[in-house]
Amino acid sequence: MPDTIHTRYAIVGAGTAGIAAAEALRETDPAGDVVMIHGESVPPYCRPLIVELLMGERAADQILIREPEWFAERQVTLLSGAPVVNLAPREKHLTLASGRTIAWEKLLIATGAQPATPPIAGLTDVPMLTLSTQEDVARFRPHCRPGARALLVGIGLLGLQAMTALKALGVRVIAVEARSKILPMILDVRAAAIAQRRLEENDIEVHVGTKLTSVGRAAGGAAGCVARTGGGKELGFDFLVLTTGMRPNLALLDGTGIASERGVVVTENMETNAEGVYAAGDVTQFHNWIEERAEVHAHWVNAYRQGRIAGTHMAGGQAEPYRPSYLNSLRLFGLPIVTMGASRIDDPQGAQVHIAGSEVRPAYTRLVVRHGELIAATFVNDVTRAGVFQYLMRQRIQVGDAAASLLAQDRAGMEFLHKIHAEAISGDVEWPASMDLIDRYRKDHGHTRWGTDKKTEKSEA
Amino acid sequence: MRRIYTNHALCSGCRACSVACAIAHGGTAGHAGGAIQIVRDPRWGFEYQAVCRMCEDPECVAACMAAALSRDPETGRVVLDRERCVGCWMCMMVCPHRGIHPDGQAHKAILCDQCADRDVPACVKACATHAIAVVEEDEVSRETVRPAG
Repeated sequence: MPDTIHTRYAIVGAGTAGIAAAEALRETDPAGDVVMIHGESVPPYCRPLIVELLMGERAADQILIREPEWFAERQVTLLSGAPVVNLAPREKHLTLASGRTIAWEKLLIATGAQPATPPIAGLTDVPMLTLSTQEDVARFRPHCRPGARALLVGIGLLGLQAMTALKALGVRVIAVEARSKILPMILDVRAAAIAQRRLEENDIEVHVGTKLTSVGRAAGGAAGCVARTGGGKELGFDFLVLTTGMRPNLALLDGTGIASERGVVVTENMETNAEGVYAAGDVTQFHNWIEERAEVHAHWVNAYRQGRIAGTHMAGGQAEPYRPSYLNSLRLFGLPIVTMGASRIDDPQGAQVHIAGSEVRPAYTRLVVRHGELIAATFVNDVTRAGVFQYLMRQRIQVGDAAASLLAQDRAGMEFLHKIHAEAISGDVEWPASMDLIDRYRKDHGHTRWGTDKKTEKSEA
Repeated sequence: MRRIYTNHALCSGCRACSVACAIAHGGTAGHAGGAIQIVRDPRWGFEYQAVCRMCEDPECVAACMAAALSRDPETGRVVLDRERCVGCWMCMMVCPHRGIHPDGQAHKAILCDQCADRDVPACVKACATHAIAVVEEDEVSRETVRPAG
């Protein structure tokens, strides 16, 4: 007889959004029951790190989001290997595959996203892989023989991760991207060219502006498979890796009345349209304030922030409204790149573009300013300053004419930043007024005024 | 809690702090291995010291997907577990202070530990112009607690 669990909070999904929510609601409500429902049977792990698992750089217990004790310490009941089959927001309960039901007062939907499948004919006839879960890694392994040919469909962040792992395992990578540049969602055309060169230097065969129309087994009993492109080209491969993007897991929402478009529609407090039901993480869609449109965006930092906001509100606390930041940090075979904001737009309307580059140490930095506000930044090779610009962008600080100075790191730029730091970032780091350092310096060096010691010596002599 | 203060007006940009930090923590004298770094503008000779400010609500902890960063509520210190760090530079990407630095060779971040095991932090001791100071404060804010597990 299936039993029923009664809980104050139910969290569906144990990714970063779910865990951040549990963390935040525990800070506000130390006592309410929390049940976290995890579809997989392994402990919750960090999906962006599974490439490390595939490469053998890390073991499964080294990519956990939180250590197992974390759940016990916070009295969070984790139900693993328990896929949810039915959400009933009106009745305020949900049903697991095992038949068990959970009655909740507040629900968080944090079911994440899964790899999207592009419309290519014959996908089911060839060995097709995705790289998102630990099960995927197990499926990948037998294919990753040295010398095998992988056809990677989609050169975005997912594709980049997959190709790094495949390359490390000795697999030949043929990568195709339907758009005219690689990493089309985050890089402008110049940064993309630098990035593409980096891939080609590392023996990745890159085809941009190439759309696959069909894939299938090689004709005449030959080994391997063949992909045909819209341009009539044929590309041979042994297995196919789909990395065209992520799509929110919305299947559970069917018939529940919870509003969703491309993702679950949420307010800036992470509430859905159903009473007591919240959503956070990759499953949501939100308003892109830079481009003024709704979008879904699978992203670690955003998921964490959304999770914390949702958790705080679920527990009755107050949190700052959610404001997305569009941040990406990636490494292309050792070349670090950080992007933020609408960095993919090559020709932003009504905005000024500032670019700095260096031939000595190949680096490329690009800032886009619209109405005095920073709306995009790209850092190739030198990423150490990225955090400062992230702050300026997220706080919507008027940079105006200082943008060029900030880029050049000249005195005006530095002074602008110091002003921002002093005014906005944190007053507590200001040098303590009680410390007259010049006096301390003079004391240490045995003189009372700059240069006085020499004069004294002379007069004494 | 312990706080490290920096005064950019007194910084000569000599990098003795970075070197002292690198020696104290890693055993090599390269300035790049220090948790405190000098940011400079070569044309104007303008320098300042970039070091972790131990924020109460650290952005880097929120951004760390490897759970390598956490904030210790007892000491108020932001702590980096180098074993867990994967060198994704997400922390650097979100830190508004340039408080965390890349260790390019090890592909791991470098974060100030305030020389908790020393009376005086290595950088403070090394600074000839007293542009870095350490202050022991009584108060520790325990409001934000995000242990990494």
